[in-house]
Amino acid sequence: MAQNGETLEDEINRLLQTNRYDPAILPRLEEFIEYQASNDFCDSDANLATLKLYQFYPAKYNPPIVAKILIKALMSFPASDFLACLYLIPERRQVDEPIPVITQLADLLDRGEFKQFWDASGACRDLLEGIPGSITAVRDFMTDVVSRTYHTITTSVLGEILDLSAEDVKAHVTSRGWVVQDDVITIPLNEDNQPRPPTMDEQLSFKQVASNML
Amino acid sequence: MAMDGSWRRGGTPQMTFTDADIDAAEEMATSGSYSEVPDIVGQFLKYMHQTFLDRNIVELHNLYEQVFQRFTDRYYRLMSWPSPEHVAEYVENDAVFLLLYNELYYRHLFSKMIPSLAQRVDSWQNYCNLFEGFLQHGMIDHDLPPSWLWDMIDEFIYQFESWCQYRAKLKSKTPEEIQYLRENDQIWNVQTVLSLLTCLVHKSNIISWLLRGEPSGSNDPDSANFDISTLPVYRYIGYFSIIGLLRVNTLLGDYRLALMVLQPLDFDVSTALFTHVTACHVSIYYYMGFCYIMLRRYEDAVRVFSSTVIHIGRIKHNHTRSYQYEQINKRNDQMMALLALCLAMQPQQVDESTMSLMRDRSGERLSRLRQGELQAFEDLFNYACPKFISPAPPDYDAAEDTNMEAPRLQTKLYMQVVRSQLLLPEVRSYLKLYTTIEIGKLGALMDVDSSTFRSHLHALKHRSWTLSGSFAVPPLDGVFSTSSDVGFYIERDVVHISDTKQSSRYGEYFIENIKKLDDLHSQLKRKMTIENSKGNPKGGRRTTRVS
Repeated sequence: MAQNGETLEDEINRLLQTNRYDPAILPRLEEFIEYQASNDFCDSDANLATLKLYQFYPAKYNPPIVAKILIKALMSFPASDFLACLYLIPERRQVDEPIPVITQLADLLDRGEFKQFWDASGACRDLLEGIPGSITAVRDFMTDVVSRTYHTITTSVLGEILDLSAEDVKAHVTSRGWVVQDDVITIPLNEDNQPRPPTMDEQLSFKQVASNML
Repeated sequence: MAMDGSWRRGGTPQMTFTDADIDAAEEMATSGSYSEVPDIVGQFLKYMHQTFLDRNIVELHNLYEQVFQRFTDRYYRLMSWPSPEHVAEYVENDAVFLLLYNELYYRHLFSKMIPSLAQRVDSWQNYCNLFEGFLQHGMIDHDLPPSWLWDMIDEFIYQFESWCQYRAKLKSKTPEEIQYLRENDQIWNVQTVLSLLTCLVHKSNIISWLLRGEPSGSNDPDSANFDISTLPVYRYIGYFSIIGLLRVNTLLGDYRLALMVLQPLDFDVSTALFTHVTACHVSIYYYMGFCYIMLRRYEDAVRVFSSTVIHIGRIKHNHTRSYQYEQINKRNDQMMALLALCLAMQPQQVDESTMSLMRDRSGERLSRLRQGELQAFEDLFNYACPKFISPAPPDYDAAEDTNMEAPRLQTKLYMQVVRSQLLLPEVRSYLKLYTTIEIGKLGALMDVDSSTFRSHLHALKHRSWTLSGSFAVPPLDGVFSTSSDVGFYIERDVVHISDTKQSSRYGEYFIENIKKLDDLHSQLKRKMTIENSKGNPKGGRRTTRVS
């Protein structure tokens, strides 16, 4: 199906433009998901299109591919991709392993229970390790939340949150320009980890007023 | 019936079909002779067909929205309109017009009675032929009022929705019906439904029209450079099909794609095409806002809903007698419910006019939600959500009713999101009591250890870090920012809370009062005109000028 000189990504884009609802494109989409899984990049549009075709043609439902799509979605936190995927998977399929485990992991991320995430991730360690970049992506998400929550944090607390040894924590944060001193890490100031101004001024654009007056 | 002899564009003299006209016609009709099509209805159909041939859109709009409704109330409250084979003779067997009439016939039938399997199939076949006609340039020499085109797309999707429900209820079906369904899965097939809408979008060239803000070619069908989007009938059907795709994708639970199809649209209410038909305006914002909720973009949902409920509040009185009135009212109530859900899920600043509507209409609702009553969330969601569908045929061997599967899944996932953040309002309210406090002490207030409380704080930061956009950018676009009403950060084991107050909102106050003044002014003006036309107003004697 690929045309001259076209990469798989271009081809998928073209197919989604012209034949999004045609089950004949499923093999190419599945191949593309395998490709995403081993190449550390993610195309949510293509992944949702795949789940949609499974929704239309239940006989074509492919559990290993679905598991990979879900791990990919887990890696896109804080975006809502994971939830977007679940909406398209029939309820009776959602009880098949490994979906419940992956769903539990997503729920733990949503609840900010990062330590528990690492404990629970053991149940699908193989799946996570089979997809390069998955652990790093989740850890990056947690690090972002930490950077908006803390101004200073001890290495031991952060180590627990990120499931890293004291050594690794130091390496992880210094690469981001965070400062480590006597087991206390200082995170550079951003909008969310410092006092807010006591009053918020009214912001009123012309457009807002105009749309209100029409 | 009056023929006032005013000659119209196409040469057809104008006819009126008021209640008095119909009464008069009934008196003249000879009693006893039964006919499938009463005389006056036949004349109406003839006239409607002529008006259609004349491309007299203003008159056709009137016939479609007012007169058709009047005849329905009069003759077809409990039975269907005359079947197409009886109508053909009145409309010169015009194939295109008959497709349009058929669509009205089935639409009316679906609204008044329970359609049979055969009728559902016939209506599907009619839609296929009708849309195929559009795609084969069959409408190039014709025109239809925008509201008719909108209703056509709207009904097409409604009947698809209805078919999916019907097909999934196997318990009450006869073996013959099940056998028929099993052998005919091309009927109301989801892939075909989506393809028809997509083809109408492509055929109409509407995307290019939207992106450029103008046609890209000539309006002469014979020119090599002909751009079909110059013809209103194609421009509208393409545009409404985009909104149709938004709706079907929402019903399927594909909220991201639903919003993605809207990317080329213009959301400036002073120019956007969706404002041309009120029902469409309400529909696009309802589905859009709903998709935002499901993707957890509550700020965007609030933006969309509040602009719509305010708009509806302003225009509702224009529609009290319209056939769309009930539908608009119901959607309005649903949007108020969804708005309450959003405000409970993510406390945020909303403008004063929306908030006062909220207090009037659902104050009690909102407080139940804010207390974290799960049942209140679920009830409101079920009331306000669209009717989700399972696109795949059911398992015909199981003979079960599976029509509730799709709504159950969407509700369940929504409730999971609600549950996973149920503790956050409590966390937020404890934070608000302090300016500096140790994590351990805060945890003790909620009976949890400090590690658990840390998690709650992470969750609070994570949940308030949300994607939000504006009407100026495509619907899926947006940037992440913090939307929380309470600011805090942690230094080792101590939480610092900043109490942020919104400074007074002068803008809103002024807007509110300018509007009041405006209303007052127009009321006064109306009163003055009435009194002037009465001649000397009572008690308003002109004062004699003192020189």
